[in-house]
Amino acid sequence: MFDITKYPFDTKHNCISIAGEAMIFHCHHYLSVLLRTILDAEYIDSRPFIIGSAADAAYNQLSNLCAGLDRDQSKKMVEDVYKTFGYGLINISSMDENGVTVQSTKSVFSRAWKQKFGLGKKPVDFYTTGFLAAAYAVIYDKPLAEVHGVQTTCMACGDDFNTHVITHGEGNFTIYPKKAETQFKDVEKVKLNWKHEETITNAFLGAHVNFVGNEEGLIPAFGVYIVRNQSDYVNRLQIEFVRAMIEVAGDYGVTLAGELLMEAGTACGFFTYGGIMTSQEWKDVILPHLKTREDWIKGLISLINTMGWGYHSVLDLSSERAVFRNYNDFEDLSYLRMYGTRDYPIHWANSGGFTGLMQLIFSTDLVSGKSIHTEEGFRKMRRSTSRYKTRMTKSIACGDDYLEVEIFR
Amino acid sequence: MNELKDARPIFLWAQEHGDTRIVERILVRVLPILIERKIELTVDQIESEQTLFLPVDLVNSINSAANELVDSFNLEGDCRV
Repeated sequence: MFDITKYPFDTKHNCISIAGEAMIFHCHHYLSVLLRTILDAEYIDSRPFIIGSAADAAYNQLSNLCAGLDRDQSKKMVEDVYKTFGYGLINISSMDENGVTVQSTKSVFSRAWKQKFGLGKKPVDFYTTGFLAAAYAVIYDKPLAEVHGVQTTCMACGDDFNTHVITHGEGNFTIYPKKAETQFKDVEKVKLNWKHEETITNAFLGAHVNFVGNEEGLIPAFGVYIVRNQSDYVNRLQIEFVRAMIEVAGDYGVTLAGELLMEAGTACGFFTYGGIMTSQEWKDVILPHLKTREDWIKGLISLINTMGWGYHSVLDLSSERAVFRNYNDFEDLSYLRMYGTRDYPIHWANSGGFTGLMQLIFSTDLVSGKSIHTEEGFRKMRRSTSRYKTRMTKSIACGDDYLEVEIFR
Repeated sequence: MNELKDARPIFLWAQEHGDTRIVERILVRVLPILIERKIELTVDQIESEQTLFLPVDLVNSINSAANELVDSFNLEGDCRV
């Protein structure tokens, strides 16, 4: 029922929108590290905003996708979307006016957590609880504020399956105000200025439609699980966590949170970009154009500009220092939609991703064919004293025309 | 009451044996105590100073957090799928 090919890539703004929600790919490393970062602060009651962030984004999207469908059709649409986006598999055929209890053995969130961190103490599939709460609210026309959602079993804790219980009653997650429309910054871009950019970008344009859930509802690619997220879900998690840390510790809380949020982006950049750069597609299409380490970075940028994260470019580039830009980056646009402006940069994931990329290219032997993209390789390299530092210099949320970040050592 | 203890060796041990950014993770874990004592520690400070004397109960909390995070790190699984 759900057909991803109906949603074309916006080549002007380098983004993908599905039924009113900006969509971005993240890998399981990023999502798991982000969630762990939030849960590490045990003194913050984060469950309401994690589920609320998911419910809000999913509600908006499912409302549009299910418009005009009857209840059975809507249930099928919800199941299809969940599978296509790489979240896993759910069966909501038993959902009725009172809610639903869903058991699932396929969840990317629980699987990723267990695989990456081992068994957890508490359920971690907050996203699915929020998604199901939103589905129930849409299909049975209930206000989100009157939906109660809880996960009672979790494979990440050693259970045989995940269980989510959705009921009509007193809401138990955060409800957010209506978002603003996306405000793109249509400014003149400093292009990548690399003669192979167009060739590579054109080769991968539209390739995102191939990243859809398999028979398990998962998207394994480049050695990671890819998940197609509502951008506002993921970015609201970052912002709500920072807001909570500010309440606890003021500016010091922002500093600590920011470092850890960037670390999630660095892990994503390291593992996902490393996976891309050791893939057959890379060897076939991009590698023939690469002569220097700098070319590797520009080759990757030419490719990822087709993935919906904005238009990336690089100004200065050497092993010691680089200045990256992203025009219409997903984090800043999300912030503008949900919160307005801010007095400090908020693009931690982008910045961490650039940092991971620099480390991959200039601190490993990846370009000479030696793949150091294992967990242990990552750990050893990140502990190195020669690691890169990251300075976020410009942010659309701060009124700038683009995101800019300086990576140096 | 005001006994102090050097916390720096704990952080260095955690860096040696734990996950990336483990120092920041430890600081997040003990943040309420840091705030209560009006102490703001940074990674640069921990790495650059020779010693880091802090109240014993805070050092004990740092030690507990460090051990827990290093232990959990050693249980982590494969990074590739």
